[in-house]
Amino acid sequence: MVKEYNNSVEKIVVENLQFSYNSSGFALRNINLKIKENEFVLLTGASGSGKSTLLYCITGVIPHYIKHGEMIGNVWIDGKNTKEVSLEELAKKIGIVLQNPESQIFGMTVEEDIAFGLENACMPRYQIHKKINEILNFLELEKFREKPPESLSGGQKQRLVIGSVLALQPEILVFDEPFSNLDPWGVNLVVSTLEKLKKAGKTILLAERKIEEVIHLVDRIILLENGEIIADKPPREFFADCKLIEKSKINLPQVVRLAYKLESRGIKFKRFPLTVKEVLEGLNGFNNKN
Amino acid sequence: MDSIIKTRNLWFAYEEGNWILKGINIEIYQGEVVSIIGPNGCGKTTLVKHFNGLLKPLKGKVFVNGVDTSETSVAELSRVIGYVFQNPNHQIFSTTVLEEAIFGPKNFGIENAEKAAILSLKEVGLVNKIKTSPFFLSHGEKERLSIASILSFDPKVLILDEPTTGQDATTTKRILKIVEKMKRKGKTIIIITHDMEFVAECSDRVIVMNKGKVEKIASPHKIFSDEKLLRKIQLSPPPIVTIAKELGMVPLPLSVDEFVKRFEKYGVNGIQG
Repeated sequence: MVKEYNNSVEKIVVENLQFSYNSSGFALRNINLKIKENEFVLLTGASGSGKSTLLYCITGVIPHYIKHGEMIGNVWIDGKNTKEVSLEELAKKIGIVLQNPESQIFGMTVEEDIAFGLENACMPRYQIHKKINEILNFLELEKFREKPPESLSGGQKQRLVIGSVLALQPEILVFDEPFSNLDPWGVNLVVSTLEKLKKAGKTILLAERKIEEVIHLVDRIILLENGEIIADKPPREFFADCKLIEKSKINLPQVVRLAYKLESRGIKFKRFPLTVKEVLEGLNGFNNKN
Repeated sequence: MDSIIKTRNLWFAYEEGNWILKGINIEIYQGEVVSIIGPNGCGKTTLVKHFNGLLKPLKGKVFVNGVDTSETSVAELSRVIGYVFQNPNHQIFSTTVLEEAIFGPKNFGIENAEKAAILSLKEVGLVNKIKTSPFFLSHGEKERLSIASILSFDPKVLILDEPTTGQDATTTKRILKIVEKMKRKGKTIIIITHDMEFVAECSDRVIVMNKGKVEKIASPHKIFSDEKLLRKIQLSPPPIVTIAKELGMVPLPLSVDEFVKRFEKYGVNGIQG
């Protein structure tokens, strides 16, 4: 009997999860985590640390689509065990945006691409139209409505994918390294969309190695190494743990590196800074001129 | 300084009427590190492919070492201009690390190709892996191997196309060290990149491209201080530069180390000095 998880505040619950693609070893081990409604969680770690596999387990791709391999433990999405519900049903609760937008776009126009999921969910025509308007407006893509997706920039394409996923109105959104194919301009477009999604109350799990760009949005950072969670803390505590940082291979935000160096030179920040604004506030306190 | 690459009113299109490069006039000098930045699709890679003759201008001229590229073969130009591709997997094809690094010097008929290859592998810190299959290298090691296989035939100019994309902090630092070392040896290094921190730390000059044109060529100090330009192309400088600007530091420090050095010298009160 698979137990129910009755806590509506917790949108994602992972309990004692292990996964192996084949007999050569575990891709994930002893994973336990809970993500609350409207939390923004950053999942980070070197390539090969298990980020994507964990996202596949959370979105139900494992065990519904990737059927080979062995999954032990349970994942609950909005109280429902992923083993017990179909992918179609899960897709209404949790949406995934992949690394390469090209792999997720197939409509002939921007509008068509967003409509695809809605048509498949048998939504009435007038409602589809309304939904598309709402999404194009939210993502600032109105002027591209009739355009073929290949005419969009990388960042706009990634926005379109977010739109197609949002169409089904999932409360939880999962992103698998959405910045890796984008230039800084594209990253900025997607970051501003993430800001909006957070404001709109979505629960967000973002797997990403570029931390600097999203640090201001993150409530918690989970660090994976060789398939295990080795840290799960709010960003300030995460970066204050120097031992952890030293042995991990993650790309530290430049602001964090600056703060470490200044601290080692005797500057003590009242609050460990994570953003440009916070560094300036911290330094202001020391500056007699101000 | 001697000019090594010069373009004169360079125009290029892959298909008729759709100009990718629109009248590029630049000059790159021997021994400098030049970064080329700009949004995807603005023509960065198309421009550098003119330097080793992979592409020939539809209008205008490109001169390498004083010679018109339209009158030279790719093979001849490749001897002078070493091009490290964006994706190391597109470049690596040998069965061992050493063979990969030997390929270039051997094909150019360089005497003692093996010695040259080993030297270049030393430069990038891969000499302990000469017998390994490139297949078993990490992404960062593959990038360093692609650099070594170009360094081994000792070109005057090294082009690196997005060398730090997808790399971890350790590899980025190693690539930065390699660039610095090559600069000390007098090489010209041209880097296409989106990594503004990398641009700030290693470039003598930055070429800012936008929609097939050169928007500005200047030192990273000047580029990152030019608010009008930054606004126009919607570019954010590295956070350290923004902090320094807010504090009124002149000249702008471009790296964490430079910032901290200044800080140690003047203290918090004198940070604006």
